[in-house]
Amino acid sequence: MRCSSPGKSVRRAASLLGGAALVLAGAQSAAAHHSFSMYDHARTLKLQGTVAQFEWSNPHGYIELATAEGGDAKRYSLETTGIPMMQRLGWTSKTVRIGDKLTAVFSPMRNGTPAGLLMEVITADGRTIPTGVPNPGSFARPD
Amino acid sequence: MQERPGMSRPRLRWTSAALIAAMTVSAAMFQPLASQARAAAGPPDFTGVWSRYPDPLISNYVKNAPPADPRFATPRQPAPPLKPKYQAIWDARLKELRAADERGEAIASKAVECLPTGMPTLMRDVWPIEILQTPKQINITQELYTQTRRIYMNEKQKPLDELELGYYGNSVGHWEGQTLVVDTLGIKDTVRTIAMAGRDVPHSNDMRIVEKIKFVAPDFIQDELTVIDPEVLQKPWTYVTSYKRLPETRMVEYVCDHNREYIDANGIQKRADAEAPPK
Repeated sequence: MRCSSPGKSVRRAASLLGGAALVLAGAQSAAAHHSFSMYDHARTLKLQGTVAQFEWSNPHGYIELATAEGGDAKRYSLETTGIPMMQRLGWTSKTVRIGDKLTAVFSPMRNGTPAGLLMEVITADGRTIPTGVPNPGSFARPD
Repeated sequence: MQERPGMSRPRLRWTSAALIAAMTVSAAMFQPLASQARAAAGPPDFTGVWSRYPDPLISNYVKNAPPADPRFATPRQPAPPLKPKYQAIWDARLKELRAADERGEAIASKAVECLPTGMPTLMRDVWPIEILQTPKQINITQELYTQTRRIYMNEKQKPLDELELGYYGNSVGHWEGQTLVVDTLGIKDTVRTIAMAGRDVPHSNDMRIVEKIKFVAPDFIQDELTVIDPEVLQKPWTYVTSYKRLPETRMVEYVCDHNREYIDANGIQKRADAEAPPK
């Protein structure tokens, strides 16, 4: 399933971020410590699920997401950026907890295994939180 | 206070921050060079947290980010002037990387194992650096893997055969007017240098690095770095990296203690959860 639209909150966040670009030129941190070529840059999935595990860690974090798309139970292993990057985007180790329901927007593995690179999460209360993946423009994002 | 944008009350925080940034930049344009202002007071003080300028990660955060001020932006890095033998090695390496990329795989780099990037790459990584300056010693910490290099002031460089080779080498510095000049020797040839789109530029154990670090405007410094390696390079390789001060930023701990990536028998980077983990 393709991601249809990033939603109002993303656009608002992008606009706010644009205004603060001069400040942000300063506040960056971790990107990738390895290549992301195993992820399909041409596809973006948007799936609802329940957090089975949240690893707040370096060099990268992980959210293990239990999904039941069409009754088909799967567990996606979604890689995030690392702690410095996520922290500067507002994440903490408590932003996501086991059992939380959320929507994950991610670039799936090219080889079909149930895993991916997490672009952002949309929490149950409607907050959209990006993970700050490097070169986001290189991923399919139907804006 | 740390410059870490939280998700709460974003409008107020971002707007204020943008205003402050705009005022800072405007003020910077009409001030004399920091070096002039400080000339009477001795050497400049580089202490603080700095980001490469323009910030290479800005696209992670900001869509349509404004262009960097060309007066202070990091100039394009020239290709390393490798001797034919090493150019062939590097070309083959880049070709291999591109081919793997097209297959959806990645040839593993040292970084996959969370090994330090070392010198000179740590001065051009995408994460912030922190400089702590004292009269006798200047420490520069790269946030990635919390790497620290130490520059000992007004000491003589040792001969290479008296040094133990490592990732950061032995760095000695002195002031030439308002410019910090640093000489670094003793980096082992397995520590690979990053350049442009490629990576892993070869060098020998004899590589010497000479840096000239100075203010080019208030809150902007540049490091003119020259790699001297007659075994590998046809001539010295010089490139400039610009940094902008981050007055509100503190460094974040970066310990690579949870690495799911590994390198398989073919040298390909894999994810332990997505495929069979290594034995």
